[in-house]
Amino acid sequence: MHKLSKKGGEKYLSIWWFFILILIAASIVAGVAMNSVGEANSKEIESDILATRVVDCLVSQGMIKQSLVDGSMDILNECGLNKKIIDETGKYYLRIEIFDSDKCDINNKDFNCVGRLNEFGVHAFNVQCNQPGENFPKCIEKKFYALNSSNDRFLVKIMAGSNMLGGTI
Amino acid sequence: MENLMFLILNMLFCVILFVFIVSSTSGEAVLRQKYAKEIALMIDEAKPGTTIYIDASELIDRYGKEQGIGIKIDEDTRKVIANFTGHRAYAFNYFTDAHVKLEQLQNRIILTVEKNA
Repeated sequence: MHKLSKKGGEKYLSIWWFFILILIAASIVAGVAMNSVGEANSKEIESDILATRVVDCLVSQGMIKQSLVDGSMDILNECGLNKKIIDETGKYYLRIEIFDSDKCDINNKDFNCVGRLNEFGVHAFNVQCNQPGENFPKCIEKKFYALNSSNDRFLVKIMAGSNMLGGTI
Repeated sequence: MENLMFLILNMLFCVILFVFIVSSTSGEAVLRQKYAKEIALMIDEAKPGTTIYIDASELIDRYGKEQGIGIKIDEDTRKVIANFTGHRAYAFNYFTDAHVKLEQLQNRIILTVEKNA
């Protein structure tokens, strides 16, 4: 039977030892590299900021702006949002629906009643929102009731989505 | 002697790995992302007429004052661009239509958000 000398055994052991060390190092380097290259996800925060910004500009002291009800409001301009960025970058979505709550039973999910709909950005986000996965947009929905100057009650539903991941240039 | 060498090499390995992890997790790539995103989100959230002061001592300590703060605003493309070493830059969009001015005063970044004319 062939036997390794003590010195030979140590030699093989140290080779295996360094092989294991290299393996550990490679795993840690790969993990750290993936983590530092990966994006810190801020889509949800951005969607929330967008939705809040829109709520703030559509309603003042609980009264909805009449131009929004009429459909004459230039929403993006009024809310201080850049039309080019929202509509053309393909990274944002904004959906604003207004229902006359006297005519619609919203609480019982009677969504057959027609609300006034305004949509900006990538319409497909309406379906893709909050799907599991890094590449899907994150969206925030806000709903509130507001009165107009004639005391008519409206339900306003706002959905804002972002799929913005910055990039190295 | 061999045992000593073995021990030294193992320790060297651990030190190199530790230095790599520390430098990667607090490295330039992370800082670029952090500052570009935070500033863009601050701009998006700010109402016209807002002035924001950001402590940038961390950047000045690390990269020095000579190169400037390494952050600029591109109003044409609506991007916050962070580039601290002159090699790679990181850009992040903001969506407001406001006019944004970025200045550096000593260790602080001053962001002024004004209504676009």
